[in-house]
Amino acid sequence: MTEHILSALIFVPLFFALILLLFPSENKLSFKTGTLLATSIQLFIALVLFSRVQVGNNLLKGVDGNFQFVEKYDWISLNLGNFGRLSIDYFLGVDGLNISMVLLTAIVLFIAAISSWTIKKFTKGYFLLFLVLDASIMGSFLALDFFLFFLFFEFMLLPMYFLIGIWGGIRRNYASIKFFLYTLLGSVFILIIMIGLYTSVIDPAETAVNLGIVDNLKDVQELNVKFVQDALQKEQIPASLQVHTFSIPAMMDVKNYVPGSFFALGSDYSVLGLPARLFAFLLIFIGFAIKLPAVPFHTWLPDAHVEAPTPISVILAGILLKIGGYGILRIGYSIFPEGGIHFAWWVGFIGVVSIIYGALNALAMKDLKKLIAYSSVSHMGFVLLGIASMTIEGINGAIFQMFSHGLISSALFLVAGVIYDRTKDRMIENYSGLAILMPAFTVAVIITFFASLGLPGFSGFVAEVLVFLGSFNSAISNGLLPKWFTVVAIMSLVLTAGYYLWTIQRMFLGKTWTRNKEFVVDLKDLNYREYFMFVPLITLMFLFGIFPSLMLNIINISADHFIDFVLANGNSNLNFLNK
Amino acid sequence: MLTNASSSISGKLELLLDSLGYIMPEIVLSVGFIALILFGLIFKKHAAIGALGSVSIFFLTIYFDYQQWIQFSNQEGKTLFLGLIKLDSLAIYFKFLFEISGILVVVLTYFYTDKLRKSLSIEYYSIITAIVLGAHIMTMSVNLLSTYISIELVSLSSYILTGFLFNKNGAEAGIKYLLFGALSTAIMLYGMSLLYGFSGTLNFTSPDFYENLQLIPLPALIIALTLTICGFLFKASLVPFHLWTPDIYEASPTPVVAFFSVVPKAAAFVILARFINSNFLSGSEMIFEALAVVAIVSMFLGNLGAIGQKNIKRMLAYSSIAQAGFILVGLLAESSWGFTTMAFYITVYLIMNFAAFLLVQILQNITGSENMQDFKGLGLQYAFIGVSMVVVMISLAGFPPTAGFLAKLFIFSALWEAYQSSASTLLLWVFILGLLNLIISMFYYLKVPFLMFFKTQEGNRRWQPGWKEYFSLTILIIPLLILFFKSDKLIHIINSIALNFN
Repeated sequence: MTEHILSALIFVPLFFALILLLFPSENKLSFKTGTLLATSIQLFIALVLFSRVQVGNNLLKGVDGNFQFVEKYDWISLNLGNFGRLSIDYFLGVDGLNISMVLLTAIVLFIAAISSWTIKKFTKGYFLLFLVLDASIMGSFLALDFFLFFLFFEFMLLPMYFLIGIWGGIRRNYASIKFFLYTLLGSVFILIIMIGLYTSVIDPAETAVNLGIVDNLKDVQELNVKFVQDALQKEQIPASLQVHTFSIPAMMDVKNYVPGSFFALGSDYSVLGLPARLFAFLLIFIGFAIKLPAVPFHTWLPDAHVEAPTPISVILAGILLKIGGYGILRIGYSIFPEGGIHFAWWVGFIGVVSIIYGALNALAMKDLKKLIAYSSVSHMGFVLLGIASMTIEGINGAIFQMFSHGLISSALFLVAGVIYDRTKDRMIENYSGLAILMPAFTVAVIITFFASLGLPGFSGFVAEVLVFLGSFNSAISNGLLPKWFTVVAIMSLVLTAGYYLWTIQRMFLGKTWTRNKEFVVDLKDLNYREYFMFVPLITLMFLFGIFPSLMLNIINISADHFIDFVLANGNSNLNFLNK
Repeated sequence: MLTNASSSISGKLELLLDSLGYIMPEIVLSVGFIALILFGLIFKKHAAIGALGSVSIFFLTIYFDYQQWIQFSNQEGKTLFLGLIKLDSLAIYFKFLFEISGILVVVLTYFYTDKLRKSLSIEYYSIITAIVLGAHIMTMSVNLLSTYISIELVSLSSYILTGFLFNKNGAEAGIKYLLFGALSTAIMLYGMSLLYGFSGTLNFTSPDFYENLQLIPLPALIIALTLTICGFLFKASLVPFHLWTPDIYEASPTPVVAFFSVVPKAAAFVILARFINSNFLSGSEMIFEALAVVAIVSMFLGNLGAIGQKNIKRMLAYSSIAQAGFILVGLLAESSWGFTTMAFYITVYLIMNFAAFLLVQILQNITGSENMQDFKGLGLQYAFIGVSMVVVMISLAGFPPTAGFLAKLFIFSALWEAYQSSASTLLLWVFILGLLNLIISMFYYLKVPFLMFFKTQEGNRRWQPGWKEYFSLTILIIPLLILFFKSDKLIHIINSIALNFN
């Protein structure tokens, strides 16, 4: 019996959205509690899932289709005439690459739901969009079918657009359109490759059924798959009998590519002087780098962050950015491993540039939220550096950094939100000596800032150290990255410490002073609701800082396998290309 | 092509009589058209008779279409009237679409609370019937003569409908349309006469046509073909014959615009497909290259033109030019899968365009304006209308989870397949530029929801939408979503009608 635990993660929020749709819009509390209930159920399911993921030597090797809790159903199946059949599946599964992201999504959305309590305008619309956004984020982390992934990935823009555009700050119109069109550009790059990929790739199991070798999809043996793949490579399967697929695991196996097709290994196609597969990697990488965002594709982020309402900033920084990193791993590196090796230097370079450029920008920002936004750019640079290194430490570090940054950046944006809620003013220079007015808040801020700048004992430290180790190791073990990348990246720690400590000094220490005298009255310390958001986040930062193995044990197995896969296939594919 | 038995006069007569049995839908439409005019003479003041009458004519036609569908869905088409028209499942499928459009336009007219409905006479409905009749014949045409006649029937009726508001703008637009139309028809007719002169036959699917044209020097052939195709481009409002579109759309009554943007266009694409598919073109790749350029330029001009528009009807006019460019992509693929994707696109386009114009109609009724700036804040006031607008606009833009996304995905994957098998760089450019156009188009498609949701404005609301409006909206919106999640059945049907390109 297949379990539907993954579907439940996606459909619980949708189900609640449907029910809340029927509630009258005057009943504002029902939407808040309904959303909170939906996210808590989701969090509970995610925890159950996390505790039940099996860890072992032969498990979680996502690359071989060894996913857990897999759900796979036929969704769309079309006859393309002379081009065979097209099969789109509802295909979900988890492995070490996405399980941490699923858990993170559930945590952050739960926090964001609490943070949304202060929404007053058009409550019904807000929470319905929130729930739809929730489902589509969850879906994009769980989907293993490219079409399904793209559906969630692209659809996500729409609720986000409205959430920023209606409930955002003063320049919300500009920010929401910029966010939408910018990320749409990335999606179109991905769409181009998606179309090219599915026309190149067949599903060996379904083709076996289509050829009449096996009667039922359930009876397909490994032997049949091998047979079909061999026949395909010998060009014995006519085009009209091939079953094209969007399945990502199928796309990862070069034996499933139709010989002579655009993305087949021996393909003669080249675009702008690059072999087709390398070009595809480049487009996919840019598509996700926009989402990540990596310098120079980051300019939408500060605008979107600054204008978005606090809970949406939390979601944006906490999870949405991670889809960029996850997509690079799951789609870019997994499907086109040679691209990852060929462009390793550039990926790492963009990572390092993001780290430094983001940090320098953060140092210059006067708006607290903008400062945090640029710190996100800087921290997501570590993810790229870790991925580019293609070492076990680097990949573990990159995934762990995404998880840890999800927790920390959520808390950071809540910090900005706490101040903004009270005074509608986020300028750092307008405050001084807040520690006296808001002692508990100041403690939360200092802990969060220190976690973000990578103090030992917090999750961020573990992640960054792993990334540094990985990128340094890379120079020795596989020679993909030069040593100076790591050296330069480490320098950023000073910058990070600089902007955080400077902010603490300017805003929280010293004599109490605010630009506007009335602020002093408004600036009350944390209330219960806010405690309820900060305490769990800070606890988790500690927990995963002290016991990183809770998460790394799971990530490690998949990461290990992922690296073997990418290095082996990437190098052999590259050799093939260079011939 | 005439067989021996039919070469005698009596044999021909017998064939003609035999053919009559296969054109029941067209007979119903013609009789209905005349009957409506006669009714118009008698009951001058009762336009409702026209509405009821035309809807029942369309339903009756659907019934006969269905009969034909049962007969022809599993067999080859039948050439009628000595090679004038060909009845096959492809034509029948599109006839269904035209009847549905006919019914929808009457429904849309019903919502038209403005001057138009009061001043409407029964003739309005009879002309709509005439356009549907013309479109019917267009989709069946395999002969230059019937092509010309049916296109003229559609065009002449359209000129009249354009001016049906009987005001200065309408009259101006009607004349403009007439002039553009007359010019392009003249060009097309010139091309057709050249083709007839070259080949000695009017039936463009007959082998004679193909064989005789092979003997003609290529430049002369290209000129004749290009001139002929110009007429089709005009009806499909493709560049460079798109200039009339914005002006006509702006001045015509909204229901009529919805009709114009779907029916003649779909019929033009069918006839273009038949014309190109009839194998004589397989040798002249230049035509395809020219069409590829037409597709790209249409997308760019349409999308870029739409960005600056303030009037929503003008915006949708430019959008329809761009959409025509996207539809043409399906033909460029030169495959039956390409044709399937095109037919699927047209079907989806019909639904979303009617939904869009229904929304325009409703917003127009509420605000009394076609200016998008006047729609500010309406989305928050009328949530359902706002949400519908979002669905329709993202569907037009090709954004999931709507049928518009699937239509674009399919049509571009057909193009990609074609590129893979032909390795033509031009097709790759159509592919890349076409997809980049998605971003440009998103810019203005989002503008309407943007104004409706993100801006607020107090204005007098002259009218409140009722359950009828909501109901018809729902009817149009639901297929847009359903076709995204479950398109297998429809694609299966369309697969069975697809032209065979080889």
